Amino acid sequence: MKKVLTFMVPLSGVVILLFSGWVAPGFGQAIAPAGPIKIGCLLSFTGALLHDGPQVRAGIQLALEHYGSEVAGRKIELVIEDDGTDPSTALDKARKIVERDNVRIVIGPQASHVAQAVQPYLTERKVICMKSRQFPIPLTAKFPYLFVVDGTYKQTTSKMGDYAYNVLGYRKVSTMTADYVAGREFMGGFTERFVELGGKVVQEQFYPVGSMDYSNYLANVNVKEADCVAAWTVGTGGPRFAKQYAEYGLRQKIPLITPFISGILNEDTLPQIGDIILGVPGPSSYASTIDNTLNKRVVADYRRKHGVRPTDNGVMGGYVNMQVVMEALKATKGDTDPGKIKEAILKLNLETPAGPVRFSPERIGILNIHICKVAKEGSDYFWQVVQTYKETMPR
Amino acid sequence: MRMKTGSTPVLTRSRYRISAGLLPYVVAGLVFTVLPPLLPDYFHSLLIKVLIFSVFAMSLDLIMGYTGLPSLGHAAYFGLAGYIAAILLLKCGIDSFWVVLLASLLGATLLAAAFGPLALRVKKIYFLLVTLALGQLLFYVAWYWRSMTGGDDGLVGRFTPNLGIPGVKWSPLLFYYFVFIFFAFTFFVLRWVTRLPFGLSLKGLEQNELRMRCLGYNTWAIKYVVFLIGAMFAGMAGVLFVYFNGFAVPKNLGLHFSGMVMFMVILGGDATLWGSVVGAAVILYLEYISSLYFPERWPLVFGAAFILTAMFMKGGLAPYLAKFWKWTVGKWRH
Amino acid sequence: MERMLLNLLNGVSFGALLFLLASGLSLVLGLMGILNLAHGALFLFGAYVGISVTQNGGHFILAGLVGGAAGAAIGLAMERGFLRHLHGRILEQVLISFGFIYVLTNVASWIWGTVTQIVDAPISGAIVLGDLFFPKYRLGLIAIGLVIALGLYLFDKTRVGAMVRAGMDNAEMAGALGVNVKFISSMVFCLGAFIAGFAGIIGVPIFGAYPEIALDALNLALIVVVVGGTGSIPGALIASLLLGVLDSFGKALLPGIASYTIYIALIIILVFRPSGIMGRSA
Repeated sequence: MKKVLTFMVPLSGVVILLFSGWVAPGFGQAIAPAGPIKIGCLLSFTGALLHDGPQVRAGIQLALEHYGSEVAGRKIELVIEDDGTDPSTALDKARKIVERDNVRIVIGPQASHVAQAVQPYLTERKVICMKSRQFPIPLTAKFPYLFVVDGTYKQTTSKMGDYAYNVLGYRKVSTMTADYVAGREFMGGFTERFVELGGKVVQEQFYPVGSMDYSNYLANVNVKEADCVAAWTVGTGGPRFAKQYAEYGLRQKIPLITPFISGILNEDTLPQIGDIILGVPGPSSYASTIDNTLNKRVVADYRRKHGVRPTDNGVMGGYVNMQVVMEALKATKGDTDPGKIKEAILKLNLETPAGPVRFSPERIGILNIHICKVAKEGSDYFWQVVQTYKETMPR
Repeated sequence: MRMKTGSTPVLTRSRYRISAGLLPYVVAGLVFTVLPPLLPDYFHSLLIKVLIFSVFAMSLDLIMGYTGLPSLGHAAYFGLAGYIAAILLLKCGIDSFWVVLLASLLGATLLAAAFGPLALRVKKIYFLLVTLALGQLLFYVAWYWRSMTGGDDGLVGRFTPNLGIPGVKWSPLLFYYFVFIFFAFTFFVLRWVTRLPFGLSLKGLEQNELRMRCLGYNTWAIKYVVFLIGAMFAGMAGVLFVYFNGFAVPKNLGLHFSGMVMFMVILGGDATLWGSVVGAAVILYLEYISSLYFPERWPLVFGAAFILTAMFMKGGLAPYLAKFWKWTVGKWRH
Repeated sequence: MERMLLNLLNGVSFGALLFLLASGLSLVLGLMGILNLAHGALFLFGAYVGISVTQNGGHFILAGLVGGAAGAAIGLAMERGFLRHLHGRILEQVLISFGFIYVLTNVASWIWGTVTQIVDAPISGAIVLGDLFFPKYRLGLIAIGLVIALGLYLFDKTRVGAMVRAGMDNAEMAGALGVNVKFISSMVFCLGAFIAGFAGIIGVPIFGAYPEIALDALNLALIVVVVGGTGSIPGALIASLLLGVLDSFGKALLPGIASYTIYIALIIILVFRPSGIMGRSA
């Protein structure tokens, strides 16, 4: 009898596993035209961008609250999945939400290499996709159902080129960024524009992604020739970088600017870094201090719910994308036909918390870019908008 | 002087030759060929993944389960073959599936030929350590060599196998059967290898290398050849994986996959080849389910599964399943 | 000239940190034959726990000890509850430590969230070398590294060290001679885990603490162990310093291959001396 038990246990375990996958909710339901509209969200809750996923989700959910969860009599349902910041996992999840949950519109993914991996599949299935955060022009062009509300990397960062040259008066820069596609793109947008205007890049440093220690690069900064240092890191590196910048005495010697204030100086890491980072500028498509009615409402509601200011991930990646989706659905009166939704989105001229947003024919966002400086009030640190470049075009 | 033995004491290990002969193969064959069209669409992708990883796991089973070489860098060959395939498809414009496959297999085998002598110089846990280090090395090469590998973005495309046969319209189901052919091929070839005199010597080698050497076997050469064969089949799985997914990324070479495939082999039980298939199926399914139900906590579930398996299922699932089979067949016969 | 010195000091201090990180792993591997892949996760936990201590007003030294204790506690649970029952079964040990990586990393991000945390170094300010600055804290690191190295070396020379080695080589015999092998095994493992946890919080002013550090740290530790010779503490020390300095000068002088210098060293060692700089061939 005992022998029977010893294999019945693992065997039943296996059977239960199999069964649970089968009968899980939502299995095989066909969605009637008048049934709920399911919006799929491929977000990162594990993996390299695990920090951003919950923020994007919060933004999406807030938008849903503000719009009411119904369009043309159809209920809006969110199907949220973890893409693991991994192409393989994301593709599996994409398959699941499209084939099993009958999702016709997707918000996400966040990471570009993950987005690249799921786009061929989503395009093949004619699923409308709202990329969360930036994506380059050539890639967006390849996928006719992909929309990038946040523009391209260079669109945002090139504005810092303008600001650094024209407003701050810098002429020579030493750069430091992470050695991977996004890192190079962010910095590239800035340096291209800076050089276009007449500036000079006297030094370029690229550190390995996941670097734990910037000391070598900081020690090597060419302080004699450069007017300023332009640096960027991914979220996990920001506090480290800032502290080491101060430790190595660079704080006193040479000003620091960022080609993109998000990532290196995320608002939620600012309290940890402290006052040494005050005044450092960088561009962003969104900051909680943007002065318009909708943003005030979003910031107030978000703060009430989550206790912190909304981030650019949450708003640009989540809230605004959801806004676009809701407005498009309103325009098509709840019809999820991909052609109609696409048309509707392209016609939109939207007031968002980040300012006015519309799409270029190439489906990339035309939006305001704000130059922000790190500021504080009491113990509250935030990005203070100091200049706005309106209606920037994709580049 | 204590004799170093394999990971389980000799006396408790036995080869589970199912005495019911052909029957399990018929049943398995039916399940694999007849069932899929009856299942909903999205299950096809999962099944394809299971088959691909079964090939991968069986290739490691040969090296680890039969020969006792614990390689924790096996994904290096899997990933490299995938990258070669992607590079040929995307950058060299080579379309033919066969050319791509052959080139990738060659690449994986060459890598093993290079890494083999380095790793085989040390034993047991140090072997594990060195293979791990080598695997990580390849991972970082893929990560930093942006011009060739696309860095952490990887190489992305839409790959459909061009078999040179006109009129083939690819669908997930068709691709499933395509992969199944490779799976069946791998299974029977590896099984045949283990039953050759050469293959039988592997067990002897694992249990007591010294004795084998005294008997005149060139143990180093045997281990080397096995290592190459294992790498080749891992490469085969890697190529299929890249066709399936449409991208080659550094993760395919990394510790996560190396660890996962090792887990599959251990879970399945290193006494049989088909155990690894079971291991692959269970783990992929577990990953799928736990990610579904616990989007943020699934690594916890996954990790707990690793721990529980290691603690309570030494010897893996295969022995249980074999006993169950015998019991069922026994009951049915009476 | 000052730049050279700065690079050298940078390299040595990075090497010291590498040593702190890797010595626990090397110790356990060498003395117990266990490859604890979850070593990086212990580092992570030590870092987070230490940060919590400092955030609640504790002195940095206290944070270091508590971080180390946290590592030791988890290590004890791991060894007693799990690894002990898998004596000699390498594959299962690897599997368990792998599982612990997933579990511990996820629990850590559950408790402390996913935002990178960092605290100020307890010793602020820098020493001045002409034009350049070198943080005092990094000098402190070098000192701590040396102290730990010395401590471990002496430990090995003591009776206890001998007992541990005896227990590993032949447990039955050692037991018959009156050595409490089980207790000693737990103790060694805990010591390794303590160093890992301690290293975690010590490294925070430089690296910060984030969930992926469990793998990043493990990676570095593994390379040190392979290059230095598995199980050899002096080897780990030499390897750490060598790799740290190579890394530092590589980044300064050869930015093209800066990311690879450590891996190039790894390959060279594997080709010419696979048992490591000071390893005994297994």
